[in-house]
Amino acid sequence: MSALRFQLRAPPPQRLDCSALTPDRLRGVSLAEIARLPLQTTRAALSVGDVFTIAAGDAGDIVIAGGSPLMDDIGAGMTAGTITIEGEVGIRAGHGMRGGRLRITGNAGPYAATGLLGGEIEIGGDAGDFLGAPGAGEPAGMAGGVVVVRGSAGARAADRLRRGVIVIEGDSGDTPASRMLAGTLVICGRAGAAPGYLMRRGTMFAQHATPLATFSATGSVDHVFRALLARALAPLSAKAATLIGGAALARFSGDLAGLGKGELLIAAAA
Amino acid sequence: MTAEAWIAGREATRGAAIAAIARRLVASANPLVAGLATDIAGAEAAHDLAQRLGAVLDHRHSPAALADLAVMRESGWLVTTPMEARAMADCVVLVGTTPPDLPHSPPPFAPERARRVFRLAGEDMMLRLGLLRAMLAGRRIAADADLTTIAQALRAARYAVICWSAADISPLAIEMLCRLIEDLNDTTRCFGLPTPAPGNAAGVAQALAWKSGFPFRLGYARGRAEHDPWRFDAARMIAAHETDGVLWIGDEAPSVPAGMFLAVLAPEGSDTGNAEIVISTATPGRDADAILFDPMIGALRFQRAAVPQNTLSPPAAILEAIAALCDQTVATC
Repeated sequence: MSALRFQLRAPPPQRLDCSALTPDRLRGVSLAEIARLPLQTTRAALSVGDVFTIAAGDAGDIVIAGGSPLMDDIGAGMTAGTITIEGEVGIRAGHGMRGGRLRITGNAGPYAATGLLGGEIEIGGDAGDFLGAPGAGEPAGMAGGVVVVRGSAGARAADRLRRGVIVIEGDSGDTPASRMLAGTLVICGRAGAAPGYLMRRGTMFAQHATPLATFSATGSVDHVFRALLARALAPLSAKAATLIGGAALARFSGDLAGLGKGELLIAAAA
Repeated sequence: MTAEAWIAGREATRGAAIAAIARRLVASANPLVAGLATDIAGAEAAHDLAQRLGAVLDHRHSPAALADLAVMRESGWLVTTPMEARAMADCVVLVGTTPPDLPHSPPPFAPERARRVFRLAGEDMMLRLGLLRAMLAGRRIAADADLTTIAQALRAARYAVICWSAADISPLAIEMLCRLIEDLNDTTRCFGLPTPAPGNAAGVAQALAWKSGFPFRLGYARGRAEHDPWRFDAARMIAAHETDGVLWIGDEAPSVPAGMFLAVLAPEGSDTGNAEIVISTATPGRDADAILFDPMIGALRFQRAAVPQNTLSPPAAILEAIAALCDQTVATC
């Protein structure tokens, strides 16, 4: 059976709450009912049918053709199935997602993968600030699952990350891995300024990074875990596998301002 | 007597201006009530108006206020008040250029102890605060003489106070300070003293919180209270054309793009941007009795008008009048 397909009619007139467009919530719902689901975030009513043309298909495999930076909360809370967005999305893509696969071919706005608990998110373009961070007022960031960004990410990627893996194939903005609690961040390009600020535990890999003076060099590592992690990530990101499983990496421990049990593993430290 | 209201640059009666604002806000798809430099009654009235309209609420100084609030609500903090700091502190560290100096005389409640006051300013504040905390944690780390002196003073102090202003330093630097303060409390006493954001931001945040459960950057478009520090950023919404009707309360109103409605309720002499409708208000606490957040005691306090006058209404009264008309307009359509 082919995918349940939504085609964007025109750029949306307001920010949309797309959290209703998940396999969990559309399974067994008729096309007429889907068309009536509300998407609005302002007082002006707007339903799925106003914004998209819908082609019937398997609700476990949703395709949204034509993205917009106003499409917020895409895939939020999903537990199974797949969503593919052919285009870009707004804030909080995959917020609180528990399972399934969310694929975005374009850019994602800020707060993508916040509160992620499981599943897989792939962002074909760039991600905004606070990738995998806590949502407003939440005590911890992403706590499971895998995120792969083919482009670059904004500031504070993996902020207060608790579990799971984030791969950024390009560069990251400032203070990646800030306040990190655990989990893994891989930056295949250049890490922004002050990586690992207030980091407690966890691991950050980077091709290029400049560690802060509150990180201390602890030699180079050739742990078995690198080979295992490289093998596990190879199907998701060849670049990440090359960096992780490649030449010896310089290891830095910190942030010594705090607990200091985090580690930065850097190919070219400067 | 000068006029107290203007519509499109012409003098108007207050009633006409209130009716025009109500009409335009009711017709807006995504109204925004912002600025919010007002007293507690004004904040409550603004909240109730926004709830009726389905509008978004944001404060002019929310970036700084939310930076402090984020640390407090995500990981907790230990803070004191300026009164307490003056009475007790034997060691004061002023971070950045904004926090005002404290008297260098011994603290009145501990006169036998001298008071040492340091100011930490300059480049790379995030890193320097990290180095200071690392040094206090006993890490062997290279740092300049200033930091070493401050670290020794903080460790030796019986009651240290660290002052900062969220307008000066990054949110991560604030968090570093708050964790450093927590660390010091293992062995001695140390408290933070954040400089509150202007425009009664702390008072407004409290009023919105007891009304809705959330501070500013609060929206009612979907009939329930939603809090989103990114989506409900007034400056961002105006720049991105995500609102079509703005009611600004207080000074420093923005200029809005063509086609966007802007009304301003502000004391005479305020910057009203390119507002279509302006209503002059009394200044709460100066020419009208008001309850405001008093930074000295770190709590809400009643303030009697210094120069009472009866011609101009406080923002709360105007907001209530607008809300009453909104109800009628909604009821009749």
